[in-house]
Amino acid sequence: MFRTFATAAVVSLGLCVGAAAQTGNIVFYTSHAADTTGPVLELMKQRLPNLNVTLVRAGTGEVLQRLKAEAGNPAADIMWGGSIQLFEGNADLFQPFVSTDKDSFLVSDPANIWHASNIIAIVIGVNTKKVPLGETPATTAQALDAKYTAMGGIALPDPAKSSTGYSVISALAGAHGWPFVEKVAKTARVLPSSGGAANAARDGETAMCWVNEDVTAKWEKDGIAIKSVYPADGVPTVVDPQAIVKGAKNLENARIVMAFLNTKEVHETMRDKVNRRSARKDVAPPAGLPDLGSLKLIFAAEPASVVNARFENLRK
Amino acid sequence: MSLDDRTTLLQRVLPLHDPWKIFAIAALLLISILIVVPQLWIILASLREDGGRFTFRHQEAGGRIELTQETVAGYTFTERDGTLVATLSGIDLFALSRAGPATLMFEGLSGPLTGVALDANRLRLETGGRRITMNQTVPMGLFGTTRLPIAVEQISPTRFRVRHGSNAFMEAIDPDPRWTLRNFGAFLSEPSARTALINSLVVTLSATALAGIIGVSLAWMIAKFDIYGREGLVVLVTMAAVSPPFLGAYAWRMLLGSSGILTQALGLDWTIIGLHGVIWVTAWHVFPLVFLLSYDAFTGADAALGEAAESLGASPLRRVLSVDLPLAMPGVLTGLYMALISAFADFGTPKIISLDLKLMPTLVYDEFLSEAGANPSMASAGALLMVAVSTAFLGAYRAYLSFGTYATVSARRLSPRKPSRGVHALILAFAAFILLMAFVPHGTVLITSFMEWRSGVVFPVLTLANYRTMFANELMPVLISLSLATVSTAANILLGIGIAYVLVRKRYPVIGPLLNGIVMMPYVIPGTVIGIGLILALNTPPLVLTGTWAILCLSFFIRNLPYTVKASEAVLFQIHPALEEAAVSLGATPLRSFTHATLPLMASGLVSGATLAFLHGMTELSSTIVLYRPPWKPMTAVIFENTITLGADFGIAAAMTVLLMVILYGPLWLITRKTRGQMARAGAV
Amino acid sequence: MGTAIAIRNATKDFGRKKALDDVSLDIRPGEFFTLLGPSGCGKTTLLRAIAGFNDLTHGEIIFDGRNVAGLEAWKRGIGFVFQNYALWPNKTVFENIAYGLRIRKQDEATVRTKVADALAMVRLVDVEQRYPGEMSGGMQQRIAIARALVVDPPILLLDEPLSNLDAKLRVSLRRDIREIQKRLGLTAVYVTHDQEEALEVSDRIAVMSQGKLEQVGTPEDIYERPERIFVADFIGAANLIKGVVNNGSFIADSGGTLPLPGGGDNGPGTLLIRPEHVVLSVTGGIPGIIANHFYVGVNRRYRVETQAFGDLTVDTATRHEEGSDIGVAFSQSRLLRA
Repeated sequence: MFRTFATAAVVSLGLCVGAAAQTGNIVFYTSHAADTTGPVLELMKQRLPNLNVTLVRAGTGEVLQRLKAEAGNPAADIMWGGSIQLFEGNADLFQPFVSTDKDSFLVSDPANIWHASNIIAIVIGVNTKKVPLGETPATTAQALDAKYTAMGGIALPDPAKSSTGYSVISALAGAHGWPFVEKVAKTARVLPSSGGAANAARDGETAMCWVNEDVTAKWEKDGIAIKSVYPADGVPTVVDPQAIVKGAKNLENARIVMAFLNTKEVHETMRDKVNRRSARKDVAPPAGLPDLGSLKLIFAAEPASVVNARFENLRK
Repeated sequence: MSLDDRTTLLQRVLPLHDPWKIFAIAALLLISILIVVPQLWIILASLREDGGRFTFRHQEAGGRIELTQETVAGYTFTERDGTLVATLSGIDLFALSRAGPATLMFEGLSGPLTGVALDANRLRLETGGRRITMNQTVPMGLFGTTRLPIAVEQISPTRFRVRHGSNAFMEAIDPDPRWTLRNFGAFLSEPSARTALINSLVVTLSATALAGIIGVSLAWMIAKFDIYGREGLVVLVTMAAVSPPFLGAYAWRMLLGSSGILTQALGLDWTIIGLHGVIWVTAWHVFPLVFLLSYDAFTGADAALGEAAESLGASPLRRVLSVDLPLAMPGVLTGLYMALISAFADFGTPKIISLDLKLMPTLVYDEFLSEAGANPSMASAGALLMVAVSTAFLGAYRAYLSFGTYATVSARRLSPRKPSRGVHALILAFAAFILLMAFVPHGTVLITSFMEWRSGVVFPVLTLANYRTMFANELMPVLISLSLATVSTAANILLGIGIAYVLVRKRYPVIGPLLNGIVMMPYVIPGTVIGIGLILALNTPPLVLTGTWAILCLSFFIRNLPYTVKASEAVLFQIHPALEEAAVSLGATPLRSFTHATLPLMASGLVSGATLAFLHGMTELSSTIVLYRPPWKPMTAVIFENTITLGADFGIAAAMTVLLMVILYGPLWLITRKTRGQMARAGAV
Repeated sequence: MGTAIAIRNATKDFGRKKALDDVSLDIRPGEFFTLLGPSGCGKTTLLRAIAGFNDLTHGEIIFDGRNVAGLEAWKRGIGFVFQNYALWPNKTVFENIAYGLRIRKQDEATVRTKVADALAMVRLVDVEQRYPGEMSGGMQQRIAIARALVVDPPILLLDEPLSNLDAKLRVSLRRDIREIQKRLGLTAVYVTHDQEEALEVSDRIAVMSQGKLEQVGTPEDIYERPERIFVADFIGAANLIKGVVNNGSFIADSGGTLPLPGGGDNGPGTLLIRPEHVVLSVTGGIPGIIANHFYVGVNRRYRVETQAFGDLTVDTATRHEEGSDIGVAFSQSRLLRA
């Protein structure tokens, strides 16, 4: 008993000292999946070998709420992933970083808060075991049909907690109006996180889900019975940004890492390893994903507070 | 008042002559701070409401100010000739109107009104004692638009003009709190909250009923009949009792989900996802509690009473219903009550298996996360509702127990009788079925931990890769879990012994009952609620502990305190006070007599209490999930994250669960064989 | 003769119940003093108050002229022997006995000698390295006595030390205790509910009931000259006949009349007649019938039904048949007023 106690004491002491003495720390808060961040972190290990990386993974909403709760004494240095609207709606949580390479990007923040990483089309992932092949819906409107509800319905990540969910609802509201969203609210099965929604469709607990295109592309490659549908009546598209947290404890490292994340090499890695479309002008889209020009793209039009409040109201 | 009287008074206030009283007061203070204060914070939070919030958009097309009604809280707005008038608590505060393209005019209606630009996107408006922060958001297409920074121009003491981005949304928040009871009403009027409460009650009651049927019948059979492998069976059920809380849900979903391994193998068209699944998994998770306490009760009942019934001509069934069961009732009920409480508070199972169905713990957790940073009033109202429900369970349990008198002291233990061959086979088959169900999760995880996982789906390819990855990347959580469980257990035991001693031996007026009451509070407070309370209490100076190892340790400590105190009390009741008085009469000081006479005798009995606390610490999830922040991420959090997040490595979750089981069951196996009875009773209240 | 322990107005409240109600006592040096009474009479509470294990609500305890209020138990230097021995099961016999010496930081050689002496005193040999759990109750209590006495306490308190032992062992051990007490000249306070035990070993006895002192006196006083009905009834067997005193006669409620040699004031009273003071005669006396006959070894005991004085318990050596008529007379009686 005493020995275990002593060991634990030594261990925890060691951990504390380790945390204090190690200068090469960087803490990410991210809503990205592990296999999305994995290849970039691998590359970072090579390029910035002295950095000790910590990742906190949670839904975008949760990550944001943690940042709010910790405002003034943040545990995070960089928030990685989300949507521009969410970053802008919470601009006071972040601090500007002036990129030297701004012109290489398709889109950039005049206030230098967020820095675009990827452009993501949100598809409808269809479980082909639940939905017979010939019956795959072609549009969002079709996907809301009662026929599919009977097969298991469509999973939507809660817009209040997931940037995917917010992007879908806001884009649909912008493109088709709130009455259309009301139908979504009454039809979709709302799950607390984008991971939960995607996994539900993958496991056949629902017939479909709204999910980032790179996820379904990877799943299709892994032999999972899932098919990506780019709805003809509009594909919600988001810019996936990152930003330095205001008051970051490891500010110098955060700047170095942010510059690194903006490099062409990182963007190419994201494209090649995780099927992400780069926000850089000089990085071609990933193989196998449709050209954005061939799709009808729709975008978030209203801030999260409005979208969430309205959506909550429609669900009642 | 004589001098003597005053000395006595002084001694009562400052009991320097009685070190135990000093300890009792210190312990009372400490646990009040740790247990009561966080709950007070929750109550405070539930009574507080943001001053208000609203979002509007200044549309260039038509030059309209478009208020989004759904976003309006606290304030009310009325439109008077193109001007919006904001009213709070019946007082008109300010008017808002268009003053040109991308320009707004604010005018104070009850005194001065000032506006200050905080940065490019935010301004602060002050009037009538309220401070409202507004944040402009300019809608952008994918490739962005430019936007104007906010510019404020104070025109007069009561008016200012704002230039802003074209077509900007303004999100306004008045954060100054107001006190109100509305949150409770608001919480209960939410359809999702009502559904969650009903779901929780349905799950809790059905799962407990199912666990009761399984646990009590098996316990009775094992207690009455001399069954092959009886002791081994009891040890196995004890092991099932300390399974990680989410293990069952995770494995059953893998087996019987819509595209689960068994579902596919058997060509079924069904899924365990849903309330029925939560009930099924929860029942198997909590049945060991019912079994262990019922088993103790059945074996502990005086054999003569049952024999008396039979000698009076009672049929065996009648004997069971009229004598065995009523006699064992206190134990059975305690088991059922414990099952009820843990079923109600379980967070992991519904989180994994209920999909979009909400139960109270998941609802409160989700509410808390989406409110963190703001005032978590809804989460707090929900948390208090949970505490109220568990307290009601406790009240019902106590009321029932005090209703009748029960024989608790055993005169002669029942010796199990030899069953007939057929009965023996039936009982063995029943026991085997129950053990199979109880250990299905363990087996599933063990097997899949050696298989290849891709995109969260298991493929029938054998590999050690999961273990390699885990040992290479994820050893820190193992150390964190071990250190948390060890340190919190040590603290539990140290304080638990002291508190139990004071409660059993000293019986101080006022301090004793208070101490006892507060120590038992965590027993009815669900883990999620303890976590929320600690965050609320410890995220502001003087003590900021959120996100640290220490706050997790505190939570484990608090959650286990009732168990360790009760276990210590049980041990103390076995040790006669005279052993210590003998030392005192020979000149040993109170502390010395305690450490010389009582403590050494407690040691062996406390091993089981300590083990229980350690195991709870290793498997704690429901408060961990609220409290943990990297890098202080315990094993359960890693497993949980890897189980529910997208693109996570499920193989690591499986491998780590296996490692966790090794850590749990190794020591448990050794200890259970000696002290099973104590373990089960240590849990009983 | 001084006072070893003086108890002044000792009162102890447990909630509403008074465990001790204004008890005052003087215990003399070298005296074997017994607190006797039924369970719940307060005798153990008083003993534990003397030891300092619990305090008094009111009143004082004075050791040899020194008020010990506020003096913690561990500073009082008394020896205490418990009903359940209270030996430490995890320590050997030697370590049990040596404990008090070790607290007093005596050197190892002294410890060894004193433990050996103490064991010899309680007549045990070769038990030093054994554990209490391996020994009989009688041996354990001897060890407990040795442990209490090894530090030479001036006062020894014994709390029903024999009540867990069987009858024969009780008799031999109580004689040993008395012998040791006399030899060492100890002041001993002994709590028991066994009146026979109390009568045999005590110099003086205090009979207690419901927290109050009923009577203090030598065993002879207590047995032969009880002052209260409770004492008469509690000590030994007794025939207690209710009635009134009227001008030198006692008139029983059941009708019989007896002359009272000592007289006494008129008024209600109870007459105590010990069974051995009832004389049976076939030739005359108060008429009665032998209702039951019990053979109890030394004597025969009869239940005799009389009309005049009700049922009487009688001890005598002579033999009478059940159902036979008999004459009854009293050789000695005592009038009690309360």
